[in-house]
This record gives sequence, C-alpha cells and structure tokens, in this order.
Amino acid sequence: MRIETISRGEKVTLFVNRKAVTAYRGETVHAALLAAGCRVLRKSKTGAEFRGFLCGMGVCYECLVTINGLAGQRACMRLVEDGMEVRIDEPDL
Amino acid sequence: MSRTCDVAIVGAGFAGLAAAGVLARSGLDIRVFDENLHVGGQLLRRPGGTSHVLGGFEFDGIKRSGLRLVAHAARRGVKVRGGTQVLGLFPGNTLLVEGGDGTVSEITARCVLCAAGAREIYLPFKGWTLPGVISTGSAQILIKSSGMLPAKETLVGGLGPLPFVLAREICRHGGKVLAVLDHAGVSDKIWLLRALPRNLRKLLDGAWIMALLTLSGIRVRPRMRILEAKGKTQLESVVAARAAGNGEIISGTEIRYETECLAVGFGFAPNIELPLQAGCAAEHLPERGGWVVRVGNLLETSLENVFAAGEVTGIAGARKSMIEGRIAGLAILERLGCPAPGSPQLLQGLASERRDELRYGAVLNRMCRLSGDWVRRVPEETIICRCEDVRMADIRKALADGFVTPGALRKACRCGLGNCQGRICSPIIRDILAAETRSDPGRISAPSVRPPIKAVRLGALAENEESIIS
Repeated sequence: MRIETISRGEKVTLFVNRKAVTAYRGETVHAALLAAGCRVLRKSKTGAEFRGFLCGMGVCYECLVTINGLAGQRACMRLVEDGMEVRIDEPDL
Repeated sequence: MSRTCDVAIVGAGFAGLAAAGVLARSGLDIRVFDENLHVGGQLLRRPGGTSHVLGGFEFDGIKRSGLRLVAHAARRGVKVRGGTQVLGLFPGNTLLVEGGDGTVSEITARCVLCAAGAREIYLPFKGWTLPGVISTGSAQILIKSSGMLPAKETLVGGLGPLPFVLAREICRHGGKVLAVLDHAGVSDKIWLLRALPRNLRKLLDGAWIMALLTLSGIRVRPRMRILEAKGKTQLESVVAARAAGNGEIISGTEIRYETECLAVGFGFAPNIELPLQAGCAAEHLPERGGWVVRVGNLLETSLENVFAAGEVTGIAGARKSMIEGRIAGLAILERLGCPAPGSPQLLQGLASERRDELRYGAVLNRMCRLSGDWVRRVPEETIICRCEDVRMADIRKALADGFVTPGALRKACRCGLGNCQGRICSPIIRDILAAETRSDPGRISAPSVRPPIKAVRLGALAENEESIIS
C-alpha cells in the first residue's frame, strides 16, 4: 500500500510472471511486488510450505526471486528498473 | 579497482562513516563497502530515488547527526561502494569482495575495520513462516525506503523499543495498527529508570511515542505471547495470549486478530560473521546483547590490524556506533603512523562518551533479554531453520541423540546450512540448546563461520582465477 503523501520517482513497468506491474523508480523489487499484491513468493526448500518476505534487509534470503533470468536474487536488495522481468513461483498473480 | 588500499571499512552505517570521516583527513586511500545500495545503515534509510529523508526536516537528533556524517564523508571524498558484499577476510588482511556487478575481486588493506551492524532476532511460533509474518525492521524499511505500508492493517509485536517505534510510524503515515503485543510486562520497564539520569532525552522520546500511540487509540497489550499465525497460503489471523510473570500462558486470555500482516521483532544480534570467519576472538556478554567481537580500548580485535566498531562490539544504538567509529578512526591513524593532532585528548573524551552509551545499552539489553520459557511451548512441527525446513521435532530428536552443541546439531539436522548461513536460526538454536540442556547461554559456543560468508554465484568465484578461496 503506497503512502500517498510521499513524492515518488518516475513510473516504470516491470513484468512479474509476464504480467505488467507499475512501480516507481527508487522502490525495491520487494516493495513493488507487495504493492502488486504478491506476498507469496515461492515454496520452501522441501516444498513443504509457501514463503514470502521476512527481514527486508538481505539477511534471511526468503524473498529469492528470478530477475532478468538470473535465479536466486533477493527482491529486498534490488531496485526496480524499467522493463525488469521478475519471476516468482506462486502462480496466482 | 586497485588491489591494495590503506584502510578497508566493512559497513557504511554510523560506525563505518564516522571512522571514514576521521580517516579521510589524512589523505589515506580508504575503501568503504556496504551490502546495501544506500549509505547510512539501517537508521538512515530513505526513498531510493531521492536524497532527503521522509517528511523533509529531520526532527530526530541522532538521525541529523547521521546525515551530517554522510555529508561530511562525501565532502572529504570518501567513496562508498554500495551493493557490495564482503565474502571473507583472510590472513594478510586480504578481503574477498563481490561488487555490484556480480564480479569477485580481492583487495588487501593495511588495516581493516569491521562495522557490519546488527540484525533482528526472531522467536519461532506456530506458523511464523507464513508469508505476511515479517520483521519490524522489514516494515520500517518498506516505509522509509519505498514509502510503502506493509498492509492496510498491521499487527505489531515483540520486545524492546522497535515495535513501538514502528507502530507510531505506521500511524503517522495513515496506516492502521491493530495492537502492539508487548512481550515484556509493564514492571520490566522499571529497569529503564536506571538509565534515567544520563538518558533523560531518550526516555522522554520513548514516553512521547507511547503518548502518541495512546492518543491514536492503539491498544498496547503487555506480556503477550504470540501462539499461532494461521492461514492457508498466507497469513489470515493471529492468536495471542497473556503470560503470567513466570511465562506460563494464562488460559482464557487468548485474543484472535484477523490480519494479513504481523510485524515482529525481539531485539538485535550483532553481525559478527566476518570477524568470526577471519578468526577474531569473540565473547558472550549479556549486557552487550550476546556474542560480540572482543575488543580493547582502541577497538582493536585479537587479530593484528583488524578493528571492530559499532553494534558488532555490543548492541547499544547509533550514538555508540558513531563514537566507536571515531575511536577506531583515530586508533587506525595511530597504527598507520599518522596520528591526528590532539589524538590522546580526543580519545580520552570519546572513551568517556562510549562508557555512557555502553551503560545505556546495558539497560536496553537487560530489558530485551529473553528468558527461555518460549522454548518448551514450541510445537514439534514448527520450523526452526527456515532455509532447510528443519523442525522443532528434528532438533529435539538430535538433542536426545546427544548432538548438544551448535556444530553437532548443524551436522545432525542441517539447521544453519542454508542460504542465510544460520543468521536467522543460530540465535534461536542457541536459546533452544540452553533451555533444553539447562545450561548458561554463555557456555554455548559461538557458531563457526566459513567463507564465503554471504551467498555468491559459483561462477563469479570461479572467474576470479587467482582467488585465495579457490
């Protein structure tokens, strides 16, 4: 949920599982995914449960997504870029 | 990047920047590395695209000091390499560094300063791995760095000042806080009075936040324990209950909250992985927040020409980090044979300021100390090591089989061997070990750490042909 009173960078479009999502320059991929309603990002290692964001500061590695074809990227440590392609395991976007 | 430098600083928070500011005066070649893209550590996060903190003028005195540190370091030409991970520190003070472009290189420094800060501590409860259960710091970062609330309605819980600060931040930006579930009781806060004479300002700030929360109609519930987070694929509701003074849950006090976000934080753990991997001596000091790097008065570690400053030597907040950064900066100048003018007097003054901050930190750490009563309440199926899906039942079984040290447990059930390398579960496992073997947490050894201390692409390591690691 974006805070309305805060001025934002220019609009960019990223593609999450091929679907276009609007974000703003300066936001992390974490924030952009959350604003698009993606809280569930992947299955845990043994496939036993779903996982999403936890620490938000690059420590826990729970928010691993595929960015521009490179797997295992921490969504919380990357800023959005126009045209960025993000893939998450959870199909219900 | 040139392969040698005079000083390498790991961490561009208050400690690292303060040290860089002192060192920059001398014309030395200084490199500052930080994993984050922004400068200023966790406290000075701000929207990525802009240069100012949320809301324009910064009212918080310590953040203003931090912004001055950033400006000062920039004026003196200190370059911070953001988005850069230090993967290891090897004999001869050679650092293995992964740059923002994903390539790995080495740099050898005459002196190294470890100032990697701290991370949050988590307490496992049933369902804590559900998407929607996040850390208080994570929620703060979303607000400060990306101008985003974690959810429409957030339930906040945990121990220490951060849950309260977060609740206030959420309200300030128009979000709704369902309640603050304080792990501590009202009487636990009496310890704060010990810090009163010297820290009136900090305590007034705390009281001010509490007053604002009350005015906003937010319910603060003392001595609450989170029993379960529920939901199919993500968080839908949370059940919490009140605990008695001995930690036992009082039956009939259960409350259920419908929410898609629970933000929890239970204090901080120092990020001592780099100094531990390098071989620096560590010590367990409860008043400093647990396992910390052992340092002398000039913040020198047990390794020659390796220094440590900030939260890695003890959790006590940004002001102590700033003071220690300055001390380390002056000490390194002396070590390199170019002492700053008036250095002994400056160091004397800083030493006394540091003592005050350590005293304040001791009070906070005392307040945030967790008793192990939660351990026996953790249900068997609860995940303890999130990376490797290791459950409480696996840990209890391994303990019963005689694997009673962190290292043995790691080998027996893989806890701590995943992507985060035990950063999330090792404080939890230490508490479990202490509680289940009825031993003093200080007697449970610090975890062993091996390089690379952060996850890195194997290809990047392989491309660095002359690497010490290969």
